[in-house]
Amino acid sequence: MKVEGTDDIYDLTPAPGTVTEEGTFLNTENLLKDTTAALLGGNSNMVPDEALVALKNLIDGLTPEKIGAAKIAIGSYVGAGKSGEENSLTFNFEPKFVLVTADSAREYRWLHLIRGMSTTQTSQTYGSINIRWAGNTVYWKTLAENNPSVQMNNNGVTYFYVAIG
Amino acid sequence: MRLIEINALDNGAHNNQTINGADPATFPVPDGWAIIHEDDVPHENFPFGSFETEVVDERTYMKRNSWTPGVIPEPEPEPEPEPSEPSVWDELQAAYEEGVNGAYDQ
Repeated sequence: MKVEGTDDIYDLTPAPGTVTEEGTFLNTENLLKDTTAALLGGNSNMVPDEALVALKNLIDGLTPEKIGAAKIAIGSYVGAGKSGEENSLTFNFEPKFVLVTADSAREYRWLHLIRGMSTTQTSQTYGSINIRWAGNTVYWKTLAENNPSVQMNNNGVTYFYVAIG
Repeated sequence: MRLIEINALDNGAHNNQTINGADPATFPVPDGWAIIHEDDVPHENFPFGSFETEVVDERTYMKRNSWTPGVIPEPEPEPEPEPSEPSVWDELQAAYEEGVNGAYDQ
């Protein structure tokens, strides 16, 4: 209803007969509780718009580390033609699983390394592998001499790996 | 990003590693390894060769254009895999063939 004596000011009192049921009052308890505001770093004066901005900032600041997401790395190396001295792969995370395989139609072999393992055997060979884990690096070697195939380290062969951590 | 171990193995090759998408500025390069510049020239006979290193922003790199190709040695013959013990199936097959062949010979 227009405030008496004015032309453009209205109060919130509805005209008689136009409202038959009282609605829900708009207040902080209905729009943004103080406890909710506190979760977003605000106080009792926080308005819903500020709360949404705070929520967006939290989402934007999420990283794989914060949410505990696994990391994956892929890459390769060129074999150096040696066995008996350790090969190694280093990552920017602690690897839990590493799979190595040759990019060669003549070398159908693979080596799987799972953190905690200290020995394994390269597939399709009779050769055993000793494994060592140190932080972000995994090392492996075969004790057999002149057997770079077992160590996945043949001259000039490109070996691909995938690591998960 | 490519890494190469600075010290060569006794056959003249260098251990190496390529890590897809890694950032040379932050990747934990192991001690004794160097980063290969992405824009360096191709390295003939890689990883057999020698190179110089340089330190840039406290990180060790292979100096551009410093790669000297080495000689790739002939691969040595690998030892024959030890034969496994004959399996029951091997023995059965041998006995079957002997029996069949013996029947034809009669």
